[in-house]
Amino acid sequence: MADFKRTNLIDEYNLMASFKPFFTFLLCALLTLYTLASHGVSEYENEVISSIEAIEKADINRSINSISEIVKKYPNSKLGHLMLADLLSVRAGSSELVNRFSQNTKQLIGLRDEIRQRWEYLKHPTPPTTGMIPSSIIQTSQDQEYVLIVDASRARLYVYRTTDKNYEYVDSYFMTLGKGGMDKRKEGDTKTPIGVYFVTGYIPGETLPPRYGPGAFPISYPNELDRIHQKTGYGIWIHGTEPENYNRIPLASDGCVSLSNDEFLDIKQYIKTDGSTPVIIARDFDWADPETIEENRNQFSAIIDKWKDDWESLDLDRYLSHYSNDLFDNGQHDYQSWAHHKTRVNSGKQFIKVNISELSIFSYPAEKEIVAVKFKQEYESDTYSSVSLKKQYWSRASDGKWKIIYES
Amino acid sequence: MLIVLSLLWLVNPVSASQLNEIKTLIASGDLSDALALIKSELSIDPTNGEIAFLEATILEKKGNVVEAIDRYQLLTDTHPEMPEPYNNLAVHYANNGDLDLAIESLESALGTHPSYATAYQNLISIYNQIASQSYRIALNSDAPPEYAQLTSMTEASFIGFPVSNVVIQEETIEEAAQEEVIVASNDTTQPIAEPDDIPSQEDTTTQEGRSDTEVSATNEPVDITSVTPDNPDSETSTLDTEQTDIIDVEVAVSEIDTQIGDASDEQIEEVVAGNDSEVVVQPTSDEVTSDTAQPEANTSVISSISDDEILQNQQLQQQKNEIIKQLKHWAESWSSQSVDEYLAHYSGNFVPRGISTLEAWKKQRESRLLLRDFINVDISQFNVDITENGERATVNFTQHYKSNVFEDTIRKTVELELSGEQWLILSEQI
Repeated sequence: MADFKRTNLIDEYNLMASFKPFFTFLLCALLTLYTLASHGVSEYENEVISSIEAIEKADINRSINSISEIVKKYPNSKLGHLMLADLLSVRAGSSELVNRFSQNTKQLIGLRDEIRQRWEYLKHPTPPTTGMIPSSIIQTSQDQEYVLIVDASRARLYVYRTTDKNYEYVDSYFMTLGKGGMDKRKEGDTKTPIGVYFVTGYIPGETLPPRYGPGAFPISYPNELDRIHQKTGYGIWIHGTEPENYNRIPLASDGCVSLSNDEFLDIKQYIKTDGSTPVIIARDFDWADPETIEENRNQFSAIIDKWKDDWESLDLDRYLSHYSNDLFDNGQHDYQSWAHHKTRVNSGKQFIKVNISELSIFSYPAEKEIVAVKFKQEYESDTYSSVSLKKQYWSRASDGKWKIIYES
Repeated sequence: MLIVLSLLWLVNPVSASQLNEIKTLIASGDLSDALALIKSELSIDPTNGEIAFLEATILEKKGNVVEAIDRYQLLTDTHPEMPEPYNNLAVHYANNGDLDLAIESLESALGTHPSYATAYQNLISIYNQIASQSYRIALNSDAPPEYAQLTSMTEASFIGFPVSNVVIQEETIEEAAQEEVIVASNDTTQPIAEPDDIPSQEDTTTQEGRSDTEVSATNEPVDITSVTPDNPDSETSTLDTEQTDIIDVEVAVSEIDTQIGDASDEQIEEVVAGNDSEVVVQPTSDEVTSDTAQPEANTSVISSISDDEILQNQQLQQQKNEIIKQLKHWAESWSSQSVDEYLAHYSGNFVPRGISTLEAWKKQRESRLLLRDFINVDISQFNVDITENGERATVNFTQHYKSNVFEDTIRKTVELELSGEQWLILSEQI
């Protein structure tokens, strides 16, 4: 009874070490929550956070009540059960019990990590909530209404909306990524890929094993660049959670992005399955203000325009100067064979007319110097015309110039 | 099977009436009169622990903490059977950061009555069980569940109390009868008292429902309940017969908690011999309600904050300011001895204490107000708590009262109800 382990508990959650700056803290907490209120803090998460706040205030009765409610409302909340167990052990003065269940099992570490990540996300101003935009978004096409940003560093999936002029943060979700970590390279490595992808479809939950929850959105891993880089594997999805868990602990999928079922059902409204929902996945993102985003857009549009103009100029050297000598590889051609191919095709042409529309540009998060470009290309020459969906990857060479390393 | 004990203490009638009077005086803020009466009572019977305890609580109310602690300590020597002095000492120790001493003192408080200690231990065991179950769920453990080993009481041992009548009531809780809650032995769950000692349900209910809690040290790390003579109504837990296993345990916890609560309430009833019950609402009402640990009943306040709520918050602040403004007016009318204005601040539902009707109380107030040469009432340090529907409020404030005959500073709690634009006083206590 005399063995009251309250402080230990708090330490375990990496919370405040001292109770004293309580008022300051409370104010900050409230202010933070106010500012976050309209930004995608789920009801569940709100309840969890408010329970942790009660713990932080050493208000053990309120926190026990609050967490009992969570556990009742969400019986599969493992996090809720852990917090309840810890708190009741404290109330019972039972350090023995806490110790007995304190072996650093993966599950325990995972749950504590989840608590820490949720807490840190909600208690600190984060780039999305302070009006910043991932600088990976350079330009979206008209049909790309929403962009999904998978930020591994914060275990958070953000939704951004395309507005008339720029991009606007809509919502964020706690998420689980691959247990193998980041940067998928080969099949079965249980890692989550890093790159620019698009949602390619929807698989209803009824046709899937229960561990995927209400459904799944496959994404376009491996993309063209992944294939060139000989990355293997398939079936990277955004999906829900098995019924036994409200959500999975961090790093508990086979490489997919897993959300709680409540949040999966919520995020469905932002996802289209016709390839027009980009999903950008990274360990971490660079963030930029809207003005910088606009500058980036203008800068890169000019590069694309220049490429188009040079193509239309019929000056093959100017045109080929946009392609990387050493890196170009589209699976069929390296630079030499591409140059040869283009020389042959362009010879004797009277005119070339290229029209670009539905342009989207996203910079590659892991390898900063790569940009994924997609557009509708209407090509017309005196001998041939076509409409196609063109994909390019551009890379910045050592001289600072952007060069095409892949083109479909 | 779980036994719930209801302890019913019937009080020596003579002592009760004196205690009643003292309590009435305390309630109406006449601390000096109460002290005078206590002194005269103690001169007749210096060994009266209940009255000596009341004296200590008054000293404490008046801010004479050092002397109050002295009295409590003295009481633990002269009346080691009384848990309240130990408890109140623990509050002081804890507030001073001396948690070891506080624990020791609280353990002594529990030690005054073996039944409390047992009930408390049972409660702890059940907390342990739920914690253990929750760990298993949280950590996906396959280990077999363990069950709380609870101890049944086999005899009543109400030592040390001036008991004229002790009744034990047995109550069977169906939920607890399920196998999840295992009591050490069924054989021991026999009725403890003879059947003719068991009061009718009515008798019991008229005596129960008084708890005596005041959370001290708001927002302090340690929330310890101090025993004072004010008795808020305590809710009894309701049992839901369709609960899952874990909830069963919670019901059991709730029952044991209530049991401890009831038992100590009754016993405090004995100590203070009060017959009014009144609600003391603390600024931290969460803590108070959870003191009786009724997981089903106590929905926690979960803050999900939206823009709307920021607006609501502003409105709430305006309401609070309005309440404070009206209370200041109440204090002014009291100071200016404007009886009508003063009384206009009270609701028709105001329940006076110690006096049978509202009319009689109003007459008494009128004479009290007019009797003094001057009155000066100054109120400050408000803590306003408005109910969710916005129709009631509880305000806690410091009241400095000075007249030609008496002066004190107390912390007062009033309960208000909104009537039109006016916040009218429903109850008043210190």
